[in-house]
Amino acid sequence: MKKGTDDVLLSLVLMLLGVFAFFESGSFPSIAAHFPRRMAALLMLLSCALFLVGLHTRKKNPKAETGTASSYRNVFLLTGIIAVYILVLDRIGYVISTIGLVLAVIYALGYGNRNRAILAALCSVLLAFAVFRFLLGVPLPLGAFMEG
Amino acid sequence: MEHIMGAFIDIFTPGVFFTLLFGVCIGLLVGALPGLNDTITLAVIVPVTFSMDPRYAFMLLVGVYCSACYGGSIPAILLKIPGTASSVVTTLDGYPMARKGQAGLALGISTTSSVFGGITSSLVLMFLAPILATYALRFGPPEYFALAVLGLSTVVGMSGGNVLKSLIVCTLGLFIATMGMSPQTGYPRFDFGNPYLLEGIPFVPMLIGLFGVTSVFEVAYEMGPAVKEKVASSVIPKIGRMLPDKKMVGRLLPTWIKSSAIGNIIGIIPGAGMIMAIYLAYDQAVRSHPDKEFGTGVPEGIAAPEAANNAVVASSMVPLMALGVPGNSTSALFLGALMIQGLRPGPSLFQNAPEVAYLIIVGFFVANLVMGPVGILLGKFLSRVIFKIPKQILAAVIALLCITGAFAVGNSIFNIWVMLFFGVLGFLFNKFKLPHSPLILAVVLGAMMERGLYQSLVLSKGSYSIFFTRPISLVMLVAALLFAATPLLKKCRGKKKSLS
Repeated sequence: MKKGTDDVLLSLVLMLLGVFAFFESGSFPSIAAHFPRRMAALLMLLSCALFLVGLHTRKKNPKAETGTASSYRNVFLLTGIIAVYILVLDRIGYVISTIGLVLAVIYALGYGNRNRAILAALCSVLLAFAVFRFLLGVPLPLGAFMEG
Repeated sequence: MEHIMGAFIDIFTPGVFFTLLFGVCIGLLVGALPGLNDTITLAVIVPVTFSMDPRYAFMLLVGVYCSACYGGSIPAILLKIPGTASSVVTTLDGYPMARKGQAGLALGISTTSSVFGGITSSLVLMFLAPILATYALRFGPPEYFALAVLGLSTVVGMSGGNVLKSLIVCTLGLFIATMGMSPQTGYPRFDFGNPYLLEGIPFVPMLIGLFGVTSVFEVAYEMGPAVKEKVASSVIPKIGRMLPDKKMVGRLLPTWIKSSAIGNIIGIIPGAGMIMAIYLAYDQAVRSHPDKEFGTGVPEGIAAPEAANNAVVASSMVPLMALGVPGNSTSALFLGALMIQGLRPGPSLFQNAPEVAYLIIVGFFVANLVMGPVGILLGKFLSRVIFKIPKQILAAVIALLCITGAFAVGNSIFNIWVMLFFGVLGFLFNKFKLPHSPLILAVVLGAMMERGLYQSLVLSKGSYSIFFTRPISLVMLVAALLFAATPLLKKCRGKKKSLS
């Protein structure tokens, strides 16, 4: 990707957000719309400026930069793991799902020692559960297994 | 004076002192756990104090309130996760300093700065409470609007070279602040039919996502495909010495004094908040040291926010103690605790129950002194443990703490989604070289700004002149203009010089 292309892309996304916010706030009563409408207009204006800066940078730097797309794999994987965790948390409860989450994150990042990973997951989750649930009174979900 | 002496004698009776110490320990622990803060803990403790002797009850509350704010800096420095919102800015220089092998010194600076800020604010509370509180109450909607503008003007100074991107992030933050019910009409805005968004984006999960989850993603990104080689070459950073030496104390003293003054002033103004104080203090530190590259592990970058946030703690009690008006949500809980004990805050408190009033004031002073050694011991222990844990396990434990903390804020799974969303957003911010700090500042100040703007325009029947005809508002707006213009002018001058 050429230097400055990221700014151009970013400015286009922000511009779309600004346009959406501007028109969406048009449906609010005038008092409620006053501030968000101005913020949306400002966002569009600043996005235009970023777009121009990005184009200028692209012209000045015609050479493309080397990308590191493979590094994003772990980030996508982690996002997926956390999303799945959130979906199952209420059903299978905090303890089991969080042990699964911790193990999944450790393995996704390539840690090789299985025994240590299991020990770390068990200790950290049980300690967190004890502190938050019993000491601080946070009603962490118990799930069907523990409630039953 | 005799009441102050009496309070000192009272506080050093074993039972009262150990309650204060216990409160300090709880506060440190709670502050160090992401998602939990002083307000949540005090809300849990206040009902328990009903059956307690007032001396024990208030020492427990004072201990928690003082130390929770400092406790938040420990994970901010060691893990780049602010334990409380008040340590957001500490991550900027604290974490890089820890990565450079100076985790001990970073924690030491955070401790000494917090103690310094805390002591100054307890002295302010002790001697200047009634005079200052009357000034603070002169703040009306135009002043609050101007205060928000002043806070946001610091974004330019902290932009680190890219003012445009900082302004974009700031505007994005102000836009996020408009989500939820309109403060004037109660009309739901940008809630997408989701009832959880009616109160706006939950702030603490957002913070946990932007810092904690983003740092987990950064670890994952750094590891990339060649995991094993990178792990093998990773080095455990040194903890180093903890307490700053004489030279460092001399170097940090001006920052401590300025930041404590900022924290005290902001703390006294009801509703102004700790976030405003830490950003103003950090901005002041950046301006005072143009030769230093902040964000890379500069000691002043830790000293400024830490002195400021602890200075807010006791000074936020000034309007409560002197006038019966709580300065923030935590001091509002103190109001509840006083009422539970059958006491009425305000000037009558000093006449009807001077022993309790002065005990609370002296309690803040002593709690800050106790917090120093206890905090150093805890920081030392945690830093030794944390750096020995392999990166992958540490990342997983951080994810666990973030998720549990985000859930604990409102006992809601929706908060974890918010955390994840802002974690991804924070990671994208890093990749697009967008700063995080203006977003947080704008989200915090957005509501104050909108409310101030609307109420001012109602007062003036639509005329913007109200902001320039009231002296406090005018001074703050001029200061904001100077804050924003100075770095830009300096930059322009620098460019001209380099061209010639």
